[in-house]
Formats: sequence, C-alpha cells, structure tokens
Amino acid sequence: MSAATLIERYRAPAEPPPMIAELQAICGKAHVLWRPDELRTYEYDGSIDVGHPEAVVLVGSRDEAVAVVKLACRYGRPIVARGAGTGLSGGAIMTHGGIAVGFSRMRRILEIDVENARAVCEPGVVNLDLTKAVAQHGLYYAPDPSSQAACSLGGNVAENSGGAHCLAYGVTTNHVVGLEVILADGSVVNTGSAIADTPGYDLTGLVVGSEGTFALVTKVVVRLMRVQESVRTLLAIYDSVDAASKTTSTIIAAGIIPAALEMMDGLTIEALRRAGHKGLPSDAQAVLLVEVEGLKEGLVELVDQVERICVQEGAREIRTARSSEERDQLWKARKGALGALGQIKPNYYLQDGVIPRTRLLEVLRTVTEVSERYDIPIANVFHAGDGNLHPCLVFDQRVPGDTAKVVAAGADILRKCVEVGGTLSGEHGVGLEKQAYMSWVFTPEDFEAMHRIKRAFDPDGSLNPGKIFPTPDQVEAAARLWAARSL
Amino acid sequence: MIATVDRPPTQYALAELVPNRVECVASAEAAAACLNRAAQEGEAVVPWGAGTKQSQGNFPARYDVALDMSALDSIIEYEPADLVVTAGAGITLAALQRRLAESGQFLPLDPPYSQTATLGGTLATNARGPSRLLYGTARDMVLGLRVATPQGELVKSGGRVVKNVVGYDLNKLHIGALGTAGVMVEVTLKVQPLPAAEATVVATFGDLAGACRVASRIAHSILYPRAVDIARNVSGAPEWRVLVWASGSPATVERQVRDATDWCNEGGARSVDRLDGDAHRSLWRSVVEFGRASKGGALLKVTCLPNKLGALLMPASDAGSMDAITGVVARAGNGVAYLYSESANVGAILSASAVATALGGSAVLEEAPLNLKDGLDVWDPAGGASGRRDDLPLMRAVKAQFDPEGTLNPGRYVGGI
Repeated sequence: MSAATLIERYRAPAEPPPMIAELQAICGKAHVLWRPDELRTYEYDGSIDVGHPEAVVLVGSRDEAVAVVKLACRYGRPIVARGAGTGLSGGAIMTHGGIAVGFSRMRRILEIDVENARAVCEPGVVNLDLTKAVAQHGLYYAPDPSSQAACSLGGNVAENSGGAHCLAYGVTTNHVVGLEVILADGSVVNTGSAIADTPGYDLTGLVVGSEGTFALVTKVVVRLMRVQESVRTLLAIYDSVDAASKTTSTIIAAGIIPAALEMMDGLTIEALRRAGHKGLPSDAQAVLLVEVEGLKEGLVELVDQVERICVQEGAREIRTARSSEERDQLWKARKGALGALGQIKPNYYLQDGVIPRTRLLEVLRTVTEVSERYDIPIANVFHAGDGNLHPCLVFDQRVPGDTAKVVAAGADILRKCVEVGGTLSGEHGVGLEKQAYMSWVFTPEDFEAMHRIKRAFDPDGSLNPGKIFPTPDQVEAAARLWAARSL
Repeated sequence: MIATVDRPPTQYALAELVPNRVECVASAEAAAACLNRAAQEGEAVVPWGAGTKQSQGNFPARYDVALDMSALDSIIEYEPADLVVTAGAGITLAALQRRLAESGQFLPLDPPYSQTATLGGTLATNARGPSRLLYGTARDMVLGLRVATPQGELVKSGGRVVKNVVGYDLNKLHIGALGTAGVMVEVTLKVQPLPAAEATVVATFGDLAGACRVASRIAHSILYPRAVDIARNVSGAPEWRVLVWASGSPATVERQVRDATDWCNEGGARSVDRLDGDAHRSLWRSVVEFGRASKGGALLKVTCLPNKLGALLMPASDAGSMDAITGVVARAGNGVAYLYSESANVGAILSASAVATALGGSAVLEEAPLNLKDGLDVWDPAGGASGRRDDLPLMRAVKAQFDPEGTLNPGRYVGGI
C-alpha cells in the first residue's frame, strides 16, 4: 500500500455519513466508531488476517442490536458480530465491509441459578469471569480456552470453543443449553432453554459453532458444573516427543479419561524458560501435563495407573503438584505458552488439526519433517488427550517470503491430519483461515447441506459473509495441492 | 439394491394408516435413491428401524412408503484405542453394546427398548435414560453422521475425531428430528470405558417432598453419580423411592454408596437398601422400560427446572389422582419426568401437561393409544406451550430447506413439521 493511499484511508472525513448518523442515534455517539483511525483495532483479531469494517457499533442492549441489524438490513450492509477479538481463524475479520457489532458492553451475568446449576449471561461476559462469579457456590463453567481471561461467551458460542479440560467435560456445545439470538432480518428467537429437552430441532446446537453466520447471540444460557472434590496434577517429563505421544495413546487406550492431558514440546519449554516461567525442566524434549479429578477415594488408584503408564512408555521423571500454587504454576505455563513463543520469533501461525489419538506418534513425526523441510521452527503445545494438535509455526513476518512459507508448511500438516482420518480444526473454527482446505474434508453435496441450513437462518447471506465456504478458486487450488504434495 | 421383502405393509401400519409399499434397503445409496424417488413422486416416507418408537409423534399427514433401515446393521469401523465407533443406523443398540463390551467399552446411552431398538431410531427420537445425568445425551456422543436426503444425496457431517468445529454441526439437526430433515444411514460415536464397579442405593420416603429434597442433594453433589431417579410404582413399589446409581472404581462406588445412604437417612428415609449385581441391573432395566410397550396405557414426558420437580410431580402425588397417574419416574438432576397412566386418562394427561407448561417446561405424549392421540398435539397436549415459543417459524424454515416436498414423516413433528 502506498503512503498516499494510507494517508487517504486514515484521513477522517468531517461529518459522519447518513448510515453512521443513524447508528449514532441508536447507540449514542460514543459507541459508534467510524473514523478510520478508530477502526484500526477492529481490523484484526487473533488470526493473521486483516479486514476493514465501515463502522463498529458497541451495542448496549438486545434492543439496540436489533435496531442495528434492521438498519444494516435496510442499507444492505453485511454484519459481523465481535466479542473480544481473540478468535484465531479470522471469524471477526470483515472482508466485505459492513458493520461490526461489538458486544463488549453487554457483559452482565443476568442470572445465576445455583440450585439448578444454570447461568444466563450476556454475550460479552468474559469466560473466566463467569467461573469467578459462581466459584463461591462450588460451581464453575467447564469450557476453558487458553484465552479464557479475555475471550467472551458470545465468541465461545460462535466458535464452539474448547480448552484444556474439554477432554472429560466436552466443549462449548456440551454446556450451552439455550440462546437468545437475532436473525438477519432483526427478529428475535429464543432457542432451547434452561429446562431440558425443548421439543423440536436443536437450534441451539446448530447456532453453536456457526461462526457468526447464522445469527447474533444476545443471551447465553449455560449449565454449570460442580467443582470436583479432589484434583491431582502430574507433570511427566520425557526425553522424546515420541515417548510422550505413545504415553498419550496408551492412557486413552487403557480407558482412562483424565480431566486434562496436555503436551508441550522442547521448543515450547525453551520459550517458557526464556519468558521467565519456572518449574519446567529446561532440557526436556516433551512434558505431559495430566490432571485427574474426582472423589478422593478414586484418585489414588487412578494416579497410580497414569504414573505406571508414563514410566512404562519412557517418562524419565514424574512430578506431582503438591499445592494449589504448584498446580497454578503448571497451568500458568501451559496457558502462557503461546505468548512465550515471542521469545523465539516475533510471529506465530497456530494450527488446530485433530487426529485419532492412535495416530499421534506418526503425525507429530510429520510435523517435525515439515519443520525441517521448510526450515521453520514448530512448537507443539496442545490437547494431546483429544488428539487436538496445536503446531505453532514461529516466524518473522518482516522476513520476505516467511509468511508464504509458513502457510505452505501449515497446509502440509493439515493435509496429514486429514489423511489419517482427522480434520482441520478442533476448536478454533474455519473462518478465513481454513476455508481454502474445506474441500479436503467435504464433498459438494456436504457443502450443499450446509448451504441449506445457512439459508434457513440467513437467506440473504448478510451475516459474516465470505467465511467457512471455499470459493471455486480455492477448491481448485486445494485439489492441486492435494495431488502435488507428497509427504 | 432394493429388496422387496416378504414383510407385508400391514406390519408397518401406523394405526389404520398402511403404506403402499415397503422398501427394505441394503445400502446407504439405496436409501438415498428411495427417498429421492419418493420426493419426485410426491410420496411420503416413514423411516423405520425396529419400529419400537413409531408410537411417538403425531399421525403422519400422509404415508406411502415405509423405509426399513434395519439391514444397515454392520459395524463399519471400530478402533477401541480411539474410543470411537462407526456403525450402520440399522444396527440394534443391543448388538452395538455387545461388540463394545468385548473391548471393555460402551455407549453410555440407556434408552427404552434397549434390546430391540435400532441406533438410528434411538437417535432420531433422541431417546435417553437415567445415565444422562453423568454422560449426557446423544448430542454429547455423536461425532459424525452420514444422512440420506430427499435430494438423493448422501451427506456427511462431523467426522471421526472427538473434537471438531469444521463446517456446520448438522449432527445436531438430525438428533431428535424424527427423520424429518433426512435419514441417518451411518453414525460415528464417542464411546466410554465400562465402569469397573456399580451399585444402587434405594431409599423409600413417606412423601414426595422428602424424596425430591434428598434426590436433588445427591444429584447435584460432588459424588457425580451416574443417575439419580425418583420413582413411584416402578417394579411394584407403591411408595416414593430415590434410586442412586453409583458407578466408577470400586473405591469411588463405596464412597458414593456411603454418602448417598447417609444423606437418605438424614433426609428422613424410611428404609435404605443397597443393590448389587442382578438386582441392581434389573431395577434399572425396569426404570428404563417403565411405561413402554404397554397396551392401552399412556406415557407423558414432562419437564421443568430440577428444583421444581416437586410441583411437577404433584399431579401424581395425591391419593385422588393415583387412579389416573399410576406410576412415575423422574430424573432428579435433569428436571425430566415420565408419568404413566394405565387407563390412558385424558383428564390426567392434560392437567399434568398444563402443570408442566405453567412451570415453563414442556409436555410430550410419548406413548398413547389411538383414541387419546387423535385430536391433540402430542408435542403440546395442553396447547399452552406452542403459543409462547418464537422458534417455530425458524424450525419450519429449516424443514423447508431440507425437505421441500414434505417427503419425510410429514406432519408428525413439532409445530406441524
């Protein structure tokens, strides 16, 4: 982009155009961002994509959101919902212009029903804030994405977010029981309920994970879980990624479903060490973070079993967190791992492929091969128990050609995931990031079924356009890529 | 591939409605072809597994073809080390469970008709049982589907891995949809290791309120039992009973049994017993099959918030109504109850439905003789729930997209779908 174009783009017009003025009338001037410099933050999310909204509206209520949707409808402008902007697949990036509806002001927990273990929240409620609010009752909200201190429930619903403890308790869709949504024509629909088994189609289950392309979520009804009596957190330390992979497969095959089973490899550990995290052995090639919980009577045997498998598969040492502080420290390292990768290179490209848990060893070896072939360091920090990989390709955007290399290397890894019977994404969503590879997984008939459900919710395609579905060009390119690359 | 079987259409009758023909398909492709042909001819198809739950739903508006799926009964892929299985929709749940048990695993779904029902029929009706407290329902277990459509296509959703956000989650559309948006031909499921130990605590209470209080305490506790049900007149016992299904490692089960027993005693139970082995299994079998396959009786499912169960069950608690509602099973942790009326008493069914509706919940008449079903909406017998819903137009829009000709089970589903 030339300097002249940049200056042109960020030069503020004196008076708001008519659509902006109308938006201001709905939400108040302070909550409508439209000058180019104000919009810059909203050109990004947690992915590597960039787009340009025409306006960002920070709605304060359901009714304001309805009015904004109706206005957008009238002006024929696309609408993209935005939570905390932590999404990793470009779901909140605006590729077709239009209005971004931000929910950061709608952050009230409307109801906590302790007896029935339910909560009703506005979409802007931060994931961890809900757990903090119900902790005094011995309850918590189970899905715990690494970004849980920042990400919002509305965003979680859009992406069907997972987290470290989803191995035993499931992802967002298993915990959301009802929604209030706004359709593209401005009508409000309540799906599901705090009460079980609403007769009819599971519209709630359809909206969760639809990446903002079906409706805007204005209320989320979730079920809460009771904090388990007792928890044990183990750190198994390995001299090879292979041994840690084998351990994971063996634990699952033995029918043990820990609350969490996470892996971090040598490069991740090194990054954490440089970032000042303590408590991880600096020379380890891999560690497994295993958490089991339940009644205290059951844990002794379970911990024993897990330890035996770790040792049998080659762990050189097993440490047990002796206090909640030690446990917190281990989890802080795990959840801070992505941030720490900045110690290696300034940028990372995070992938999210899922594979059958019996294929971990094989696929992680492929990741190493890809890393060597492209000469790109890849850190692995992921939900091993779910088979949900997170290869982080670390690079420097400023180095010419590096970004292209990273994208190509990522495609090789995703292809391997699909080849072994897995898929492209476990919890981050397709968005812009993976739409190019969707035809590796789905046939034209599968896409047609998805278009049908999309048309039922959003016949004119005005909600979050340009996402999920590949363009014909992308389908062609994906076919060429599949045929050309051999691993 | 379509074998016209010797089973006569009368075996597929829904009350007096008899289909013109029966198609017993031997492949997924044949199922899709059958649907497409019917759609083009303007025929109405009733998908059929074992037929155990064909009493559910309203009468179809039209009925031309019975599509028998029971030949699609193979296990297509099973990798025990991944805890994932793929099977044809026509397999019986019992056959699937037997195969899984050989590897020490199971599908933690315990719906009625567990010996005869097919997997497809179980999922299409979203049938569930007491274990939902710990394990959830079908929507928490289905990883992937292959579905035959009226357009003659075979469509895949989800996959074979335990976490998956790629593409819209159309698995959710078909679970509990009564085959109105497509017919499942292949299902991939997440399975679980069989628990090492199990036992049941049975406590008897003098009144409903006492039973509810104790059941709620146990169901929402850190004990995480597999199931906590409240029952009356199930396998004979005329009193209100709380049934606690303990499961896990032997040590865990002992702890669950001990605490549950203590809490029942503290809560004023008249008697507390422990059941193991066959007695434990047979009790839960009778709970699961309660009110099913009975000739002439009616089974009503009602829901409310779990802490309102006492009010929901009131119609079944006073002596006067006991002639009408003759038995009860309630899922204490979920707020779901099944009321059985041996004489299929219309007044009792309607007033119990109205109670559920007034509590904000729903009522569904799951099993009923012909004369009772005729003239009322089984999805809202008292008629008070549909009016306050705002999601029915969207459901109809979904139906119109997936089955524009109204080929699949027309008129049987919620809101006239």
